Amino acid sequence: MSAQSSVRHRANIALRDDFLRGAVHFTTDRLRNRKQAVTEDFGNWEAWRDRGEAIRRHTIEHLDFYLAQFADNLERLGAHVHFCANANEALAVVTDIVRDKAARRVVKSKSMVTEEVHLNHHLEQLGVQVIETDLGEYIVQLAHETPSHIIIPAIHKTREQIKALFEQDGGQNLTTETRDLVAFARRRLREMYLTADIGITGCNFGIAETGSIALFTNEGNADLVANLPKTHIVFMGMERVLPTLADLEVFAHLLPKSATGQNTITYLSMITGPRRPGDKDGAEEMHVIILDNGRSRQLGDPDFQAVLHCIRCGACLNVCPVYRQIGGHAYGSVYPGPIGAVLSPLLEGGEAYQDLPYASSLCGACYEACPVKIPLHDMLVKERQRFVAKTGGKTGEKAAFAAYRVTFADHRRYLRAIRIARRLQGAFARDGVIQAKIGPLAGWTGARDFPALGDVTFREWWIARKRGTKRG
Amino acid sequence: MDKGAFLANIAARLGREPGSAPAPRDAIGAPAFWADRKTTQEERTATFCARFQALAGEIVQCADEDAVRECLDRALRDLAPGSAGAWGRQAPWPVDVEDVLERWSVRRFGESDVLDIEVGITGASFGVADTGTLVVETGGAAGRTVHQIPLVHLVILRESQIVQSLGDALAQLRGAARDARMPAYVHFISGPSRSSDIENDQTIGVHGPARVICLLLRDRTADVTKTAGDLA
Repeated sequence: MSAQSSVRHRANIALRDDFLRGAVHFTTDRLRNRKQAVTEDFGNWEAWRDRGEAIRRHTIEHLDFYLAQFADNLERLGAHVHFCANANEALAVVTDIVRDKAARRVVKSKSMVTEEVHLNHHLEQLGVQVIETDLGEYIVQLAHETPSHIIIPAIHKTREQIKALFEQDGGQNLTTETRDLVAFARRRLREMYLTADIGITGCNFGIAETGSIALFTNEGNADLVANLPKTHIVFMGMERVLPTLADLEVFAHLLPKSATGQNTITYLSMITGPRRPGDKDGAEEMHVIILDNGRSRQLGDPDFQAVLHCIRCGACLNVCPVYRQIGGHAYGSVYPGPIGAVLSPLLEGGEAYQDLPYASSLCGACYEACPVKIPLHDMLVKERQRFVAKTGGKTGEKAAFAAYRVTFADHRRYLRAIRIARRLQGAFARDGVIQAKIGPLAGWTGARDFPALGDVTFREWWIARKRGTKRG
Repeated sequence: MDKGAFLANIAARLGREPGSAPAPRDAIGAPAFWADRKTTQEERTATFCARFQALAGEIVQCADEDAVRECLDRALRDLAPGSAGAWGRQAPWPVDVEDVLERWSVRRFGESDVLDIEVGITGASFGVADTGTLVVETGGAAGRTVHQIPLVHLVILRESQIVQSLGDALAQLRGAARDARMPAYVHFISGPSRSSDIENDQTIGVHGPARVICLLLRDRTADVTKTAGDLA
């Protein structure tokens, strides 16, 4: 792994960006505080989490059954269901639909799964114009960037930057007032919805018993994306199923409360197949792409199956002390934060993202925040274990721990080592700390001071004290 | 990938007989302490109004059906939209407002184009007290674009349509799904369209309506205590 592509390198860049750090702190604090307030007001939060966890566990444990039921219902309603093992298969399905419809323009509402398969790039290569319609995603797209937060994608942009981007997209006489900027986006994107050939949305939950797609949005863009163009394509990860409509109530509480601290989402849209005979609006054709892309490898794995319980609320990002410092881009993966650090290497399965599980303090705040109680902090440790077992670990690290074992196993060796170290540190220790970035210590002192050894060790002090007592 | 192979792979990894039905489960839907609450219509209405207004939704209370028509008439006069649209005549209107719609030459879904309307007028199937939500079922003459396109959404709701929980509304939709009558598109609307994507500054009217005005007919006749179980 080259230095440029490491999380450490990207984090160092992020840490020098004062605006980014301020914006990430402000946003995550706000989301976290609002979540705290809304869950206290709601009451019995732990019981709701337990219920959410139980439903997700049951669903994933019987995923083949519920997924089959979901797909059968959709097909009965006239939707086309495509099962795709990986990104390439999903993109091939999209290519076929685009060619079949001779599509020139596609509008999209926010979907992390489409980010995962790099759909926009693929569509552009096919010569199709792709427009993101979620306000934050639209801003990020105009800036040729990727989302930095899974709920608030443009967390890192200032209103001045946004105004400049909108001016490039045809905005005239704009101010930096939010209302002005939003009014421009509304006008601009409305033209796009009305002239698009295909609308692409994600899927927050698929309801097995009815074949419904449940979409959660605040802006209302998903409704226009799904209903105005003639063809609607739904992208969903294969784990995003719930057995019944009754179960949806639980997640209609857990998701918005955890994500943004809203008591309820502004729009919950339930789309059950393409338009029916007699309907005069809505998409005429509906395609549902169900994606595996590394997910099924986690099934049956006692350590990681629960990662498929995730409902993508982003609550773990907002509480993570690492995410709060470095923001989303430093993770270098589609999914940032604790869930990204766990999920990215699992979905990838190869060598990529293996450093992400190390970008964590293992404090467990992510687990406390998770509405379906995924033990993310345990998973991070297990990923590190598997990584070390597979690669054999670093030579230097192994030598250091071998030396540690020898030294600390015998009190005479330990005392001798301390005496030598105390003599050697003289050249580096200042005011009781070592700041020098040298040798094996550099990994630590690069970011914080290392405490110098005291003039007297505890053992020496203890012996001296006992002698003193006897004399006295 | 073939559907059968895709599902067989999942079943194999889970160590399951492909497609075999799961054992019955205890934890379905909301916990009992939530689903079994007993509330009166008066309580449900009060909670709905408070929650809906807290989300920047607007409520106009109407004592009888004439009042609903008068309020709609006044709203159209005050808003003075360049163009207004409404569900078609055959749609499931909670209150008959045909004469008002005619007086204001409101475009009717199914007869005229509604893709550029400034005000959209619809009915609703349910109000949900817990979340301050309007549930709009669409289909046929009840077009979905009527309330998605405009800047102002005027919704007519009867008090007796207000249920306590999302689960109560979902249970009725589930009943409809069993009879294959569930519409292709059901919209749960909790206030105006909003976004905080620009520097966390909350603003309304991003893609959907900036104002949602509920004309609420207070038609409660008796205090009937309902639970989710009764409705299912």
